[in-house]
Order: sequence, then C-alpha cells, then structure tokens
Amino acid sequence: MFEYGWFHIAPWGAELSIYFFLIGMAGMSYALSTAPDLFGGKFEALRPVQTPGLLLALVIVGICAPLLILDLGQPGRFLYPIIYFHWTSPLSWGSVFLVLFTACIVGFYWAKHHGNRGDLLKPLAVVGSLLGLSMPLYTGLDLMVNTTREVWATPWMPVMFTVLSISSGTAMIALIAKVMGKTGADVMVILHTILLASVATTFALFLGLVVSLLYGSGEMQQGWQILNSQYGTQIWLLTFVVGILAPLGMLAMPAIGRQPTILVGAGIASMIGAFMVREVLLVAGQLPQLFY
Amino acid sequence: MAIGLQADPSEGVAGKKRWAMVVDLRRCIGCMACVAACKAEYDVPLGVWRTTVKVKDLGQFPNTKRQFMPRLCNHCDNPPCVRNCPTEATYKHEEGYVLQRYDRCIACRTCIAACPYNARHVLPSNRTRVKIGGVVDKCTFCEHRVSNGLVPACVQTCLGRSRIFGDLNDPKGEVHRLVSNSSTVTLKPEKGTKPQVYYIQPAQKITDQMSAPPVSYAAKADAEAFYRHNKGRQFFGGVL
Amino acid sequence: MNKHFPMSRRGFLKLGGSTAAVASALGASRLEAMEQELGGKDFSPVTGKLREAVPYTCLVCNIEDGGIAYVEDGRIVKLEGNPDHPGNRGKLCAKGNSGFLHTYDPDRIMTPLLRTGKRGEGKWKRISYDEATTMLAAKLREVIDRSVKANDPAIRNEIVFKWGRNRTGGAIQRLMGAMGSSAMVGHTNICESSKKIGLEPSWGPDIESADFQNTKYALIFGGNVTETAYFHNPNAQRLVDGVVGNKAKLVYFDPRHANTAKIADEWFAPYPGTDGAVALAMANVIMNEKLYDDAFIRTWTNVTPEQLTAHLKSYTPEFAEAESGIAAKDIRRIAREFATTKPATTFSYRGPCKHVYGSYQEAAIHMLNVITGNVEKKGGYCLPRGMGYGQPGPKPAGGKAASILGAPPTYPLAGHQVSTHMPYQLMKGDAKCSVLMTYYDNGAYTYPSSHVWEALLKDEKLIPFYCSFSPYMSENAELADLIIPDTTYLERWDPESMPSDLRPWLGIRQPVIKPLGNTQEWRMTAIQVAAKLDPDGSLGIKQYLNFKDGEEWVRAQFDGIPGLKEDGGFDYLKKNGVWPKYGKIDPVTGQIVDKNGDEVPADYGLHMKELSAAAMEGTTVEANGAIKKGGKTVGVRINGKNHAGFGTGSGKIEIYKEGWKKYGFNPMPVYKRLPSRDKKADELVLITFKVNVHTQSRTASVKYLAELYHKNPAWINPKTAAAKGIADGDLIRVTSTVGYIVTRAHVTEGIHPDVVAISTACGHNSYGRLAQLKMKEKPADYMLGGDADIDNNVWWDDKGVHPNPIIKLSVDPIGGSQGWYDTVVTVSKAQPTDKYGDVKASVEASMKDYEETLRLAYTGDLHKANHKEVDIDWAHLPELKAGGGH
Ligand SMILES: Nc1nc2c(c(=O)[nH]1)N[C@H]1C(S)=C(S)[C@@H](COP(=O)(O)OP(=O)(O)OC[C@H]3O[C@@H](n4cnc5c(=O)[nH]c(N)nc54)[C@H](O)[C@@H]3O)O[C@H]1N2
Ligand SMILES: Nc1nc2c(c(=O)[nH]1)N[C@H]1C(S)=C(S)[C@@H](COP(=O)(O)OP(=O)(O)OC[C@H]3O[C@@H](n4cnc5c(=O)[nH]c(N)nc54)[C@H](O)[C@@H]3O)O[C@H]1N2
Ligand code: SF4
Ligand code: SF4
Ligand code: SF4
Ligand code: SF4
Ligand code: SF4
Ligand SMILES: [Mo]
Repeated sequence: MFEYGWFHIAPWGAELSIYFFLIGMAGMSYALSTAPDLFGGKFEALRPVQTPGLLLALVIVGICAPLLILDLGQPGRFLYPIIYFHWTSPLSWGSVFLVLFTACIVGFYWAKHHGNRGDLLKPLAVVGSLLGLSMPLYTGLDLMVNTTREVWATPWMPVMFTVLSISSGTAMIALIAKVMGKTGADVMVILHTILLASVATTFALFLGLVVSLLYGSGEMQQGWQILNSQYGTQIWLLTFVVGILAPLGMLAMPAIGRQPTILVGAGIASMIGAFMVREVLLVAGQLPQLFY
Repeated sequence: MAIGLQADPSEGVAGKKRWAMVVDLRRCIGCMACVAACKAEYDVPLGVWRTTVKVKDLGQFPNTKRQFMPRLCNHCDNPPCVRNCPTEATYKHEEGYVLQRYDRCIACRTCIAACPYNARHVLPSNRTRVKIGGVVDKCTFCEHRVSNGLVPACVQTCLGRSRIFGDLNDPKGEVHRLVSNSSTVTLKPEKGTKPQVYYIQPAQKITDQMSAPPVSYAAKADAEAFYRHNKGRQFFGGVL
Repeated sequence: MNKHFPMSRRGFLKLGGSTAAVASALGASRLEAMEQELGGKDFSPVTGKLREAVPYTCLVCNIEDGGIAYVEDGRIVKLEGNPDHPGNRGKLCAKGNSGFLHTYDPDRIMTPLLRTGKRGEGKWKRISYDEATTMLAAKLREVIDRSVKANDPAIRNEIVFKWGRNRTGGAIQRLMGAMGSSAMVGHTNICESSKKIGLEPSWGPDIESADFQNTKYALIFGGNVTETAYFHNPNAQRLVDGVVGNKAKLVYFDPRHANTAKIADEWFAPYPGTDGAVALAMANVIMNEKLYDDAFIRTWTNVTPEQLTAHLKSYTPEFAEAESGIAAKDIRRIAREFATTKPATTFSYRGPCKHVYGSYQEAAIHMLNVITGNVEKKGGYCLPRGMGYGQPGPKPAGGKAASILGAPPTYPLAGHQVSTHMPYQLMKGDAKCSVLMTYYDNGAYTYPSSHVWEALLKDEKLIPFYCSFSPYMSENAELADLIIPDTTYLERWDPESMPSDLRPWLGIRQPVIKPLGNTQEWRMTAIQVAAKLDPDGSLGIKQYLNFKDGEEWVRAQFDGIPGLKEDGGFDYLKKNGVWPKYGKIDPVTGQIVDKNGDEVPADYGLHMKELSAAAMEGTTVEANGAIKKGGKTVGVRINGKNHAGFGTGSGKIEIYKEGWKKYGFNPMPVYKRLPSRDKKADELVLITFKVNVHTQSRTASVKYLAELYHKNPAWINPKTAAAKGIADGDLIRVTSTVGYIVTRAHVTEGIHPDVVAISTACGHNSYGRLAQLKMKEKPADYMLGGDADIDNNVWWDDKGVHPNPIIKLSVDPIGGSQGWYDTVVTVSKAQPTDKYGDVKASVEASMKDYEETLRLAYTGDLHKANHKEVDIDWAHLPELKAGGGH
C-alpha cells in the first residue's frame, strides 16, 4: 500500500470563474445605463451608452444562464433551486436574483422604449441596480458561506467581488463609449472617477487579502503557498501588475487618465485582473483541502 | 427548526436516535475490507469513494511507523453541505444521517465545495449495475441497513473491529460508552461542523494535516494519472 | 487438515463446558450492548428490498472463509462473511468482499476454446463443452491405449496434471488415480512446503494454530498476518483482539515493514534467511538461563534439556547478531520475555521457510514453543483443528508406476512435491508428457524464473497437447491448445475445512447462481471426460467418476461425517454453509457466544487427551511409549496413561529427526549460512511479497482490488538508493544472473538497506484487459463483456512489472521448497534505452540454476560439504528411490 490510492476533484472550475466575472460586469453596466434616468444631472452624459449598456447586460445574462445550466450535472433540473428554494443557500438566492435581474433589464428597456412607463424607470433602476450589484455580492457570498474553506470564508470575497464588478462594468461601458465615439468629457470624468476609485479600492483590498492569506489560518497560508507556487503568473503578473498597478498608474493623473484611449486601456487591464483574481481565488480556496 | 437543517441535531435528545461511528485507530490494520465492502454495497464506480483508508509512513528505518486513517462522511450535526444546497437535495435525517435525494440533486457541487472532509463525489453515469448517475453521492451511514436493524457494511466486515457503530443516545450502547469513556477526537473540530465520527488515538500528523499532497512517487504518479484521466471530463474543474 | 485429531462436534462441546462459567461474569453487560445486528441479511439500497441470501465458502485466496452471497434479480450483488462461521466470524477481507467480480469479470472465458493459430498467437475457435470433452478424452485415451498395449503402466504417467490452487477435496487425485497416472504436480513447493516439512516430522500437522486472541506474547517471523498468511482474515482478527484487546506484546520479524509491523510493539528487520539464527539464539538464551519448561521437554519431546543446551551452545546471541543484524541484547531480551510471559506463541509463514534450508528455520522457530511449554495451551501454540472429509467409495488405487514429476527421488523428504523442477525435468528428457492438464495454475506468471514455463508450454515437442481449465486468459492459458473453462468459485461445488479456528468446522462451496452462460464446473467436465474416455467402463475408469453432477459427488463426500447427519446432513450445509454452529457473534466483542452471552470456549491440550478403551483395542505399545495400530502411531503412553500425543512416529514432539539424518541432513534444527548472506557490498537481496488486497495471479482483473493496488515498484532503503544515485520513482534495472527487469524505485524507510522487495500481483502480460490496462480493446467474442465502469472509469495507468522472470530457481534440499528470497541482484539506474516494463530472462541461465540447485540435494556434491557436522556413513546414503516422499 502506498500513501494514497484515492483522489478528489476540485468541484468548481473555469465555468464558475467566467460566470463570476461576467455577471458582475452585467450588474455594473445596468447600474451605469440606468443612472441617467435615476440620477439625471451629470449622469445624463451616460445617456448615449444606455441602450448598448442594457443590451450588454442582457447579452451577458444570455451567456451566463446557459453557462450555469450546462455546468450542472442535471441541466434539466435548472429550475430546482427556485422550485425547491432553500433559503440558507446563496445559490438559491442567486438563481432568483438572476431571474429578477433579467426581468429588470427587459422591464427597464420596455418601460423606456415600448411601454412608455416613465413612472417605472426609477424603481426599476434602483431595484435592478441593487439586484445587479448583488450578483457579484452573492457570488462572493457563494464562496464566503463555505465557512469550512478558509480562503473563501472571509468578507473580502463579497466586497472585493463587488468592487471588481464595478471596475469591470465601468471599463466595459468605457469601451463601448469609445467604440461609439461618444467620449465626451463628462462621460470620461464619470467613468474615470468610478474606475479610479474602484481600482484603488481593489488595490487596498488586494493588499488586505494578501496580508490575511500570509498571516491567516494555516489553511489560508497553504492557499497562499499554492497560489504562489502554481499560479504565480496569474496572481502577481496578471492580477497585481496588469490588473491593479498598471491601471492605477494610467489613471492616477486625471489629465492623462481621462483620455479615452488610456481610460479604455486601463479598463481592459483592470478587467484582466478582475477575471484572474477570481479564477485564482476560486482555485486557491479549493486546493488546500484537496488531499485531506 | 435549526437554521439550514431539515432536521434538528438529535444528539442527547431523549427518545431519539443519534447514529454515530467510532473508529478505534489502534485496531485498524489497513486491510481495506471496508473500502471493498462499501464499493460492492453501492456499486460505487471506479475513481470515486464513499470511504477510504489513508496510509502514512512516519519515522526512519528501523523506527518506521505506519498509520492508517479510515475516512468517511462525518454525518455532521452542523453540516455545511446541507446548509448550502440550493435544492434541499441533501438533507439531515432526524436520526442524524446526512442523506441525498438523487432525484432532486442538480449536481451543482456546492455541497462538495462546502464539505471540508472530501466526503462527497459526483457519481459517474457509467456504472456496472445501478443506473443512478450524474448526481452527487456520499456515504449514507448505510441508512438502508441501519434502519433495518443492521450495522453499516463497512462496520460489518471490519477485520480489526476498528469501526464501531451505534446510537450515541443509548447510554448502554458501545458507541456511547466509547465516546464518553475514551479520549476520542473528531476531525477539524474548529470548522464547527460537529462531526459524528469519532476517532480513538489518531496520530496527530494524520488528523491535523490540512493538505497532504502525496510525497512518494508512487502516490504522486497515481494522482497525476487520476487528474490526467479526469481532465476535460464534466465536473472537472481543470485545476491541477 | 489435522487428520490426527478428527473431532466430532458432540465430543467437542462436552469438553467445552468447563470454562463457560468464567466468561459469564461479563455476559450481562455485553448482552445489553447488542443494538444493531452484524449481518446475516442485506437490503438493496436502491429499492430497499430484502436480498436473497445463499451461503458459500470463499476462494479468492485459500483461507476458505465462510460467506453469504446476496442475490438480486439473479445477480450476485454483495458478499458478506457468514456469521455462523467460527473461523472468519462474519467478516470478509477486501478480496473476499470483491470476489463476485470474478464471476462478472467482463473478460471471463464463457465457452471452451480451441486454438486455431500458433501456440500463444491468441487465435481461438469457440467450441461446445461436448466437443471439448470429447477431444480431451480422445487425447487421454490415446495414452491409455498405448499403456494397455505395451502393458506398461509407466506410460500412463505421460498424462500430467499440474495444479496450483486445488480445493477440490481430492477430486483431481481421484480422476488421475482412476486413469492410473502418478504424474500429479501441485504448486506447494512455490507456496510454503518447507514450512510443512519443518513441522510435519516435528509434531505431525503442517501448520500451527497460534491462539493470538488469548496470548500475552506473540513472536511472528515473516508471516504477514494482517495482510496475508494462513489464515489472513481469521488470524488478523484474533491478532488485533490479542494485541489491542488482550494487551499482548507483539514482536514482528520481517526485512520489510509489512502492515503487521503497524500493530507490533517492536519490528525487527533481519537480513533475509537468518531467522533460524535468531530463533536458535533465543533458544540458546532460554536454555542457558534455565527459562525452559523442563517437564514438558522431558515428557513430550524426544530430546532432553541437556542435549538441547549442548546442541545450541554455539548459537549465541552474538552469533545471531552477526548473521541477522539484530542486536544481541534485543535477542536476549526478547528470548527472556518470550520465555517468562505466559501464554506465548510464535507464528511464522513464508519469510523464514522460503529459503534454501528453510525447513531448518521453521523447525527452529517451532522449537521455541516446545521448550517454553507453550504447546496446546490457551493463548499458546496449538495444533490445527480441522475436520476430515474423504472421497466416496469405490476409491481408485492410483498409478502403479511412480512419476519422477510427481515425486523426484532426489528429494525424498519433500513430501509436497518439487513442482518447480517440472519444466527442467521435461526439457532434459527425464520425464515425458503427452497430455498436460492444468487447473488453477499459472506457472508462466507465478513461478520463479517464470519464462522457463513459458518456454516449456510453447514447445510442442515437449508438450504435444495442453488443456487448461482456466476461466481466465492467464499467461498459462494463452499457451494452451484447448481451454475448457471452469466456473468461478461462486458457481460450483466443493467440500471445505480449514483450521482457521480452534473450533473445527466443515464448510461447503455451492453454486450461488446457475453458472453464467453455459459454463460448467470442472467436476462436470471431469465426469464427462471419464464417461467419454471409458464409455463402456471396460477401462475401469468410469466407475470412479460415475456421478450425476458436482452436487452428487460432493454430497457423497459429506456422507459419513460423524454427527453431521443428525443435524441435517448435506442439506444442513447447503442451508447454513458451515457446520457445526457454535453460537452467535457478540457484536461488541466479536466473539462467538452461546445463548447466555458467554464465549463458546475452545478446547486445549489435545495431545493430553486420553485414549478410550475402544481406541486402545488392537494396539501395541513400544519401548519409547509409542502406541501403534496397524503400523501407525495412534498415541503415546506416558506414566502409564495413554495419551493422544502428537502425529509423529514416537507420538512425541520430535525435535530430533532421525528421518533427516538418514539422508545426511542434520536431525536437529540448525542454521546454515546462505550464499545470499555473502553477497558483495553493492549487491542486494531481492525478496518478494504479497499484499493485503490481492491474491497471487488472479486478482489483477478484479477492479476494486486493482484500483487499490495496481503497480509494484521496488522497495529500496533511502540510504541504499542514495548511494546508487537513485531517487524515488527513478527508472531502475534490477539484474540477477537470470536477466533483468526495468521497473521503478519506491524509496521507503520501511526496508532493510541490503534488500530490495518487489510484490507479486502486478505486471501481467495476460489475464484480460484490466490486468493489462488495455481497456481500449474490445472484449473478444468468447468473453462475457459488459462493464461500463471498467470501460470508462479506470483512471490508473501503471500495471506494474512482475519480478518472477529474474528470481532464480533454488530449492531447499529438505523440504523441496523454492528459495524465493535468496536471489542476489544488482540495482542501478536504468540505461538510456531502457523502457519501463522491459524484461530479459535467459532459459539457459535458468537451466544452470537447476543444475546448481541439484548439487544441494542429498545426492548432490555440495550436500556433504554443507553438512560436515552430521555424523553418518556418507558413503552409504540411501539409494535413489522412485516414488519417494511421504
Ligand atoms: N492477501 C493475501 N493473503 C494471502 C494470499 C494472497 O495471495 N493474498 N495467499 C495465501 C497463500 S497461498 C500463502 S502461501 C500465504 C503467504 O503468506 P505470507 O508468508 O505471510 O506472505 P508473503 O508475502 O509470501 O511473505 C511474508 C513476508 O515474508 C517477508 N520475508 C521475506 N524474506 C524474509 C526472511 O528472510 N525473513 C523474514 N522473517 N521475513 C521475510 C516478506 O517481506 C513478506 O512480508 O498467504 C495466504 N494469504
Ligand atoms: N513473486 C511472487 N511470486 C509468487 C508468490 C509471491 O509471494 N511472490 N507467491 C507464491 C505462492 S505462495 C503461491 S501459492 C503461488 C500461487 O500461484 P498459482 O498456483 O499459479 O495460483 P494462482 O495465481 O492463484 O491461480 C492460477 C490460475 O488459476 C486460474 N484460475 C483462476 N480462477 C479459477 C477457477 O475458478 N477455476 C480454475 N480451474 N482455474 C482458475 C487462472 O488461470 C490463474 O491464473 O504463487 C507464488 N508466486
Ligand atoms: S462530512 Fe461533509 S458531507 Fe458529510 S455531513 Fe459533514 S460536511 Fe456534509
Ligand atoms: S450537488 Fe446536489 S446535493 Fe450538492 S448542493 Fe447541489 S443540488 Fe445539493
Ligand atoms: S457507512 Fe455505509 S456508505 Fe458509509 S462508508 Fe460505511 S459502508 Fe460506505
Ligand atoms: S476494515 Fe477495519 S481494520 Fe480494515 S482497513 Fe477498514 S477500518 Fe481498518
Ligand atoms: S482471507 Fe479473504 S480472500 Fe481469503 S478466504 Fe478469507 S475472505 Fe476470502
Ligand atoms: Mo501459497
């Protein structure tokens, strides 16, 4: 007999990190797209990207739902989390939110363009944005509630995932604005401010995470070791340098950072980071116990 | 009703049963009879296990020491797997078992992620005899045997009589006696799962190890073969 | 097994009553603890339905534990230990639990096969059992006709039957006897024959029943009780009960850290082949320090303490330390502990005896129990208890001419054949074979220098016709001309008994289900062949195999067992699987208890039992006390009392063996330094071993077991490996004078630095797709097929490398046993062109080993040189006598 003859899988793979990434982006796109109707004022500048933003959210949801369903071993039972709703399971809540959020996107568009129901716009904007931003919140919670996986079981997760969604959603809207040539100064100011703030927050959160991984429980330290030994490039180059430091550098000086090309560049870089950090955290949370 | 449980913990509740297992590691000889019996009982396919017996060598020649560590689902009293399941496919029975409803499970693997003991697996659909597949499965404490007055299959065949099973709430029962009279430990008590599989005299290194990647070539090569075989398969995260 | 003490149940139970009262004190609290039943029924986890239960006897390995098979919709779905069985007490080991997979092995052969291509080419034609038995009968008839015509019974010995595992209860011998051939070759000399030969002349039976459960001190030499050995499952249970439950001390000797070392208080790694020196040194200490049982030695042995002390004089602990590497102070300490802790027992299996001169080593270990008076004591070293069953009448007289294959005259003391020599004897023309039949036999895999068997079986001149009865395409079966598949052990009839408990039992193997497909058990094949060979009965063969079927044959074997009929006879066994029923298993203690919860006691002191007046009738008493009847010793008279005694000529334990001396061997247990002890510093001794989850060549195709253990890298000590520049997992070459294999290093702290160990059970070049990891291939048309699990889910990719091609033939000249652990090898990093699994082995080199090992036989030129101390007339050793052995 040798040490081992049996092994376990890490249950969650790339489908989940892609989903986490995309759905967060959708939430922020929705929030930005509905901002002109919610806040008005300065946010009117975002009006030109409203329809593409909503469309983007819808497309993402359209990708995410099948992605999630196909990830199930029993795709035919995809409605079960709603039918047999289990209130202590974030996944059950997530499923409901996803449906409601999709309804908000469609509803908002309908109210605006077909239903002519201006009275619904504000409530839909508020509820939809909350739902949208609760999507990353719940994906983070999805990990966080695994109290037995210490790398995941920290409040960093939902907070960070939400902040990451804010940055990548903003980055995506910036990209759309650039492609559409609607890079007016006001738009750039809003997007730059949000992006800078979120990337800066990410920087702080990242450092905090690093510290808790480095000095946290034995399992966290193990996760940290796994990250460094197996996923060094992803965590240091792609997340930290490309995803955090680079955009911070590009955005630090408002004068430079508000140039559309720079802003979009910083946005894309932050998106790479936002994806990578989810990917590696998903993995690093699972691997420490793989051989237990 | 306790939060997230379909049944309250029954430990110490008068008139209720609380099934539990004691594994006396002094008596385990690593014979693997339990592993084979469990596989046969449920037609458990290759590559997944409801129970395993880990082996570890410690010390240096000629002071070599070998350790065996039988493992299975702990039928936790505070089971995170149950709490996180979106469909209540996995649930806690009032007598303590944590069980699966195959017809409800969507194989989202949330419960696998939640279990800190690697006690769960996704059942492959290609099996020898039984047709249930593509859902998550785990040790059931042999509920179908226990409710018929029998001990679990692994206990039944345990050559060392290392696995002892019974009602923890029965003060005259063997399990109750062992848990209250000997110094037993549970695995990862700090996780708050309240495991109901108790170990007598484990070697510290075996219970404490958070992660023990295989060290010997023999084990590493098997691990690589296992992950190579699974790569690209559904439910395989592609990690490693 | 123990023909010396056949015991009826009634007599047994009567004797048992006395100790019952002692156990009852615990009874009350025990009973209350019984909450859940241990077994005896089973339910489907899917439907909840109660499963049909059929008792049977296990034969995955050869311990013959009792089981209950559970059947669901005509399919065997689960096996479990028979709770009525005193040996295994309701439990099965990993192999036993997996045994039903033999039946459903998708690569199982489902129909007789006739070779169409060249031998070994793998081209087969499916034929019917009728055609196959007709063909075999014709081949046999040809030989018998020649014998009749030439009026030469020796010609019948050209019908050769080679078996490995034979649990037919004498059916094979009956068939061969009916045909008048003596060319029966069993596998025991690769198994444990020198243990048997170390014991039989010493005290009668071929094995001990160590009462581990009740002992306070167990000294085990190279018998890996918790993984292997006789009686793995029953003894493992008892050893744990003794060591953990009864707080006995366990000291284990094995160059390798086997799992038995896990529960041992102390593990010692002797240099291979030196256990005898250690045991003799312990005896030396016990004698010198007067820790021996004076009365027992004087009363019950054929030596005196003074003679023993004198004989052991040179075997000092320091001497043993120099030989074995085990510190003299440890040897002294353990000897004292062993002699002063009561009760105590030794146990040994293949480790000490499977060496050249292994018989001496076994006899030396046996002696430790004798001089400390632990024989037949509760918790001590007991005689095996078995029950006999015979063959029904009329019984064939057997072959008239002795066969050199069946009993090589050069090994007159080797009462269990010298099967390793068969290929060489045939190749050298010492014997002739016209029809070879093999049953449960896979020499081309399981024998030392296995390539020689392959060469033999491929040679159509030496083996003109070869029929295998294997249900699997083994290394041997691949080379057959005709395969008439047997059924698996869950589909046939056999009588059983094994001394796996101190309470004797009788068991039955019966078809749990109707044989799959149209397969038929070997008994049926034998009956049909006999009927076709001798259709009108004129050859006198058919009368001995005139059974309707296997059931009728085995029923006849069970008739006439005293006491069985009263309990319901054969039908009782069919219903319950084992007889008698001693009691119920206490779920808490695991012991067999009676209605009151008291342990059903065993019976001790069998040798002390007094012979009844009836038994004494017609006996004579010799000067040494031996009570004789019809030339046989039936007891011994001591101080005027007639005791049952031991199964030797004198009725006492014969530490001094006159029979050995006759041939120039030392009559006393001695230690002989082996050539492997004098290997060069950079060489290693290659040993081999079995593992807990496999049986010999048979289980690599059992998926649960293959998943648990599928590759067998070479165990090597870290220091040794480092000196050779070998790292864990490195590709290495292991080279003996026979050839080399390329395998991988398993660097482990669990092995002696001078030793490299490679297990068996892996590295098949045959035996179906799973054993060879060829799952991509489609099952052949003659196979059962159909296991989606095997087709899709096999995840491992290493099938191991078998060591047997490079293990040298070398045989103990006394017991005739193969010296499995005497091969000296070099281990080095593999050459750049070497591939994992490469094997090179030379038949010529093995031929030389054969000649070399014959030099050790009593007729050989090295014999006297190795036995200078023996005081006999060396010029007049007994003549070679065909049909020797006993
Ligand atoms: N699991 C399992 N059990 C079995 C069988 C099986 O195939 N599998 N087969 C059955 C059969 S047929 C047999 S014969 C028995 C054999 O049972 P065992 O004799 O117990 O088993 P082996 O592995 O053949 O050898 C025993 C041990 O001897 C050690 N050894 C080697 N050289 C020496 C030496 O010089 N001195 C000492 N002290 N030890 C040495 C080896 O390392 C090994 O651990 O097992 C029976 N039980
Ligand atoms: N390296 C190494 N070699 C060893 C040993 C070791 O420890 N190490 N151990 C040795 C020992 S102790 C022994 S006893 C031998 C055993 O070796 P063998 O006597 O050769 O016996 P097995 O390998 O048990 O089975 C032989 C063959 O029986 C056939 N068979 C299987 N099932 C059935 C059946 O139901 N019916 C019939 N008719 N045939 C069947 C198959 O063809 C199988 O290959 O091996 C020895 N070889
Ligand atoms: S051991 Fe794992 S699967 Fe079993 S109850 Fe606890 S958390 Fe759930
Ligand atoms: S895999 Fe099945 S049992 Fe596990 S959480 Fe998902 S639905 Fe529940
Ligand atoms: S209790 Fe039953 S299901 Fe659980 S490990 Fe034991 S045999 Fe398997
Ligand atoms: S059956 Fe019992 S003794 Fe054997 S490995 Fe399993 S727990 Fe240990
Ligand atoms: S030891 Fe295991 S394989 Fe051998 S007879 Fe017993 S249960 Fe069967
Ligand atoms: Mo054997």
